[in-house]
Amino acid sequence: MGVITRNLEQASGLYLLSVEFPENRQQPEPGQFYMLRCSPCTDPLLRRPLSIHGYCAEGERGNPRCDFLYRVAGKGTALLSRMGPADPLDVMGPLGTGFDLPPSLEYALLIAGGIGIAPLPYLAERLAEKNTSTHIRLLFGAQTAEHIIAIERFNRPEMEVSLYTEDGTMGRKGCVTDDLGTELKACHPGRSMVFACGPDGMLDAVARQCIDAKIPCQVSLDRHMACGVGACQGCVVKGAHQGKTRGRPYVRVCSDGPVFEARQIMWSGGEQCPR
Amino acid sequence: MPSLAVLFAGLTLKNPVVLASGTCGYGVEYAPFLDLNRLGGIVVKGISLAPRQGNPPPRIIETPSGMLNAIGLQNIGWRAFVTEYLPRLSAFETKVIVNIYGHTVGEYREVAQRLSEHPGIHALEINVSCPNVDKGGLAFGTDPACTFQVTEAVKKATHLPVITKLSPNVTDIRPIAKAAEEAGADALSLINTLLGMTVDVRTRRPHLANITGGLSGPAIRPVALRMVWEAARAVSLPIIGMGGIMNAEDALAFLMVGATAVQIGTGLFVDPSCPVRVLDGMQAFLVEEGIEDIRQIIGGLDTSPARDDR
Repeated sequence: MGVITRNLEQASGLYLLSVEFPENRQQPEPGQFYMLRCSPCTDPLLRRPLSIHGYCAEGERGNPRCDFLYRVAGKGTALLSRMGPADPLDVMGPLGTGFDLPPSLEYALLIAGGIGIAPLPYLAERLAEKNTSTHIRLLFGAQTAEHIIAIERFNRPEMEVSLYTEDGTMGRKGCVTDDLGTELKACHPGRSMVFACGPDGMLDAVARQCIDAKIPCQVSLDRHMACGVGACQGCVVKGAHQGKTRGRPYVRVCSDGPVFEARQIMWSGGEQCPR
Repeated sequence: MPSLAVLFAGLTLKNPVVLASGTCGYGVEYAPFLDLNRLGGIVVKGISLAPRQGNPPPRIIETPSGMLNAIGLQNIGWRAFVTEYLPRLSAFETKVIVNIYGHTVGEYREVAQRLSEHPGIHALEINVSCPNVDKGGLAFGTDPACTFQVTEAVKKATHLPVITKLSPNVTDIRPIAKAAEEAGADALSLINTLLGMTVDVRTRRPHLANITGGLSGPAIRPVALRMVWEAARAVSLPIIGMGGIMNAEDALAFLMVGATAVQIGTGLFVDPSCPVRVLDGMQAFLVEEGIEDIRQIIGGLDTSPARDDR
């Protein structure tokens, strides 16, 4: 059981939530997530999965603190957004398989679409800590200027950011994948890695282009979940029989993922998923 | 300290709380989140003769106080189960019940036989909610004769206690319960999920790729409770009741209408500490009420006409 220390609206419908845990909790790996209980009642019933956005071993109360960035998408997140400081919050985690941080990485290209920015600041910080010579570039696309948040976490000298908005109110007008071909040309297959998080359509485009260009790429997926621990098989996606998905037609986003290598997933060109 | 042990299908369960099939995988997935040793038993995911990959996604969707699932009976097959998971399960001090299913009576018989050759399994639970391909895909459990055949075949193929898990998608549960009893079942478990569906009106598509799915969770509890009550009056067999149990009060209600034990499934997703809280709550209830033994609660529902004091 954790305690909320802040739950602040960053832009309309986008919130930054901080939770402190009085008891010992394992430090999360970037790309891992937590299952949050948004109501003490039976409706909404299921926990909501949110990826780790930030972590501090010692928060304001001297306890470990986890930060989450979320968008109000439905019943559960709407209730979550109305909670406030000092409210208890039942949180399970850290869960899942996070990003794989290669030991010596020259260039990390991070690609975020909308609320897909959530897990990437923590990833960038850990990459930078692990190897001070890794150059980190973030491509971040959102609908409008108001949705461009969390980029102050990319202020370090070895990090650079390029922004895209669909309505042109900030950065370049268009989609975050518009210049992907050119961006990938700057990636050397043996010394670069792409890390992407965002809507399925965006991930599909990123995955296909990275696979074609032979640039290693890791994607963070999200799906509705029931158990969150790999028991119920409810959150599966189709595997492409590569690497950890070999011999397994369906793989669980909650435990085999949420992070997968792009080549391990069967991309269907914009598979519909309920949101 | 009140006794929580119950006798069920020839087994002594240290307490009446069991995890439901399909919700705890092969047991080990939940081991980091709950102490399996505290439970009366666990029922592992339905095992079939051949591995089955399950349905395409989306497989789950939340509903009011519940959820629909159309997992599609995904499982690794009996051989992989006994090799990879059974040895690990045997390390826990809890009864291991294996749920089984097939597409024909012959498949049920064969998977029962194969599993029975391995130590560490305490009982078999027969899932009759699957389509019988020999009868045009009609679920076994919707027909008393098919339920009888499957139960009898499994009973003949194993020395282990046999629990028939009933489907609620029937007009009357009582003949189905009686058929299982006549076929030699050692116990019954009910209810399995209720058939349901939801749609997204913007995309005009069903939420589930399979279109329909099984409804579970608190929403189904009144139906489950009613069916356990009906079945308990129709047969003399011990019954495990399940359907939306979230707390001790829910569990006690099932015992009062005639169940000897309960299974918790969806409740586990909501809160992994649910089974232990149910257990502790049942214990606390017995202490408060001055009851020495949980077995005194079973079937203790009072349906006498209410007294009019005025």
